[in-house]
Amino acid sequence: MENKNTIQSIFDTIQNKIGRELRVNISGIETSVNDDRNSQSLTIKVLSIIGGILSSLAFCLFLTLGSIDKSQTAMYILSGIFFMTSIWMNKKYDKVILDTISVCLYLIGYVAFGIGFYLGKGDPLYVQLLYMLFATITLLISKSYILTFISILMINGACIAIFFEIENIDLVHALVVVIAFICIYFTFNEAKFMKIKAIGGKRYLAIRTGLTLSLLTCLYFVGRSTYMDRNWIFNWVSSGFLILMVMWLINCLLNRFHCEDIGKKILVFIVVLVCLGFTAMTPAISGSLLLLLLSFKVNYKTGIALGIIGFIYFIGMFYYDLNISLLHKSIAMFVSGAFFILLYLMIFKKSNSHEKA
Amino acid sequence: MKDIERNDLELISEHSDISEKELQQSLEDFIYPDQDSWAKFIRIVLLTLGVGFMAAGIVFFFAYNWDELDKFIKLGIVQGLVILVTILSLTLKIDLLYKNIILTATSLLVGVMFAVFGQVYQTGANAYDFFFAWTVFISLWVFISNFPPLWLLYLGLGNLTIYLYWEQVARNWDFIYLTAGLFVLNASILLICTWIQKQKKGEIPTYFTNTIAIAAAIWSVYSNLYWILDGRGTEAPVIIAATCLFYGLGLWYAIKEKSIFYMGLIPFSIIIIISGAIIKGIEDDAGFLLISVFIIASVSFVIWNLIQMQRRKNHGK
Repeated sequence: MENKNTIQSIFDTIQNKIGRELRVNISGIETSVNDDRNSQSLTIKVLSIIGGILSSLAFCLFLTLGSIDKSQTAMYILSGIFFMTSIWMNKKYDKVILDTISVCLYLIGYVAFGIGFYLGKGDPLYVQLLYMLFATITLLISKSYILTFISILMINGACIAIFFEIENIDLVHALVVVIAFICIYFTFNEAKFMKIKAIGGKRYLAIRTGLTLSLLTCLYFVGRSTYMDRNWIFNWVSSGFLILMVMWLINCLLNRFHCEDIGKKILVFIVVLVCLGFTAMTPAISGSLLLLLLSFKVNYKTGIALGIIGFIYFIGMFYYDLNISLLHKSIAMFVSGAFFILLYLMIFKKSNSHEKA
Repeated sequence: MKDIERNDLELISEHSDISEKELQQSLEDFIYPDQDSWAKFIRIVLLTLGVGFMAAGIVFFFAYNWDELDKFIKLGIVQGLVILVTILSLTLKIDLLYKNIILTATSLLVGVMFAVFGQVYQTGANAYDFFFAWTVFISLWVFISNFPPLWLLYLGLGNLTIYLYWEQVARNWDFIYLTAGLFVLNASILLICTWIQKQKKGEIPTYFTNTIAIAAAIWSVYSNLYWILDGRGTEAPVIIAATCLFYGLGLWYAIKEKSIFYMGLIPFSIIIIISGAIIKGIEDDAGFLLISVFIIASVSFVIWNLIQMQRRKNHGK
């Protein structure tokens, strides 16, 4: 929204669509339009995060090379100061220009705390648990866009690190299902979250981006046989949940586009079940497909791009890891290709002939 | 009237009495894809999966029968496939977009063909001449189709060929020549693309120019850091001149067109180069503290400038 005329024309369009006149606080909108958060492009977000990471890396090198990281108490104090300054700064002045310094201080806070804990020869498990606690507290008390995003990644990273620490990495399967469920809940209730003041607007977008990256990270771990025990039951169970979610999503879409033909619905479900059923030993495939469909459903471009990259990568890894001969892989791929082409011809040639009729 | 964006609905949600249900309805009507977009999406996904899987199946089939097949059969089958797919892209009565997707797949098959050639005649799979031949023999399709993803593949292959040539043949050339050369090459291509766009001689998508700009920026940072950290005084003037020229042109264009992307990318590259100079200048741990502070201050300044620019752009100034 740039100026009064544009604001008015947008209002007119929406009012026409919903069929009633809205009571609007125009001056409030004008103030928000001029707020720098409203002008925040992807370039600015990327710059803030990369700048923050580079700067904290340089600071950590300074700590190490200057041998300042030898005192446990100093590290804890430094960590506490940095955490509090970062959160306070974002709470007091929610300005885009302060994002880089805020990210930098926040990350150094974690590193300094980790160094302090390491100096005291503490159990790494507790460090991860404390990281998770810090990130959760940040999520609850900070309203900042950038800290919300980093906290979500931190919680997810700490969870995975804990699973490695307790030598039970299979728990990532459960994490995948939980994150996928939260992603669906967030995506399907966009309007609801937009209306909640504490979460709405840019913060909602930060949570969604954080969840998307967290889901992809977990899918990477469940997709790589190097990290996982070859306990097929976990793969099948998490795949089962993810396939059910995909089917439920497709059902919602069919209902949205008023497809009431039960026969057609059953056919669609059978096709999806057959296609994804064959890949059940790699939950990452159904997981990335779910992410792709969810993102496309709400026109979330970053999610679509990440979903496509993930989908292609996990399919590649699926065939790479398959313990069958090259001939069988070749046949499986050729048959899959022919199946998709056939499906394409069935759906679109049929719909074209209907249109012509 | 401009299209309604998610941002607009966020503001309306915050500053009006629109209900949750009405907001959801507005999101579905103005932001979420409609039935036609879904149909197009499914069409592209199915076609890409179909063509992709079939092509991969064929490649794996060769890999399986590798030792048993005669070299003429090996080469003949791949070449036959290239011809078949090209004919398909010419004769099928489908959208130009799908024809171009098929042509891109054919260009990849040309790569497979040269890989087969390389293995039959033991030239190695990563020989520079293999990539050079691949680049040369898809040139015609690239120029005729003018399909941006195919152009990206072409430029990527060009970069890779030059890199491999340096690695395998021109080892006596210093690495700094390679980085500086690739910087100038990519920056020049970007310049030509921008000129074409400005002269309205062709439609070039933003993601295409942005990708080339990122490649040029990476090589420029690399070459500059190389001469700074390695103390290469002889090559420095040329690299500095090229950097000043292209960065200057980029900044001029960014200010003129109010381009947030270039106004972020170029200053950020300069920040990295200056950080390298600080490391070289202050060779102790205090240098890193200085870099940390410098990065925070300079990136914050760049962001502040970008916000001002965005505001001016939004207000049509």
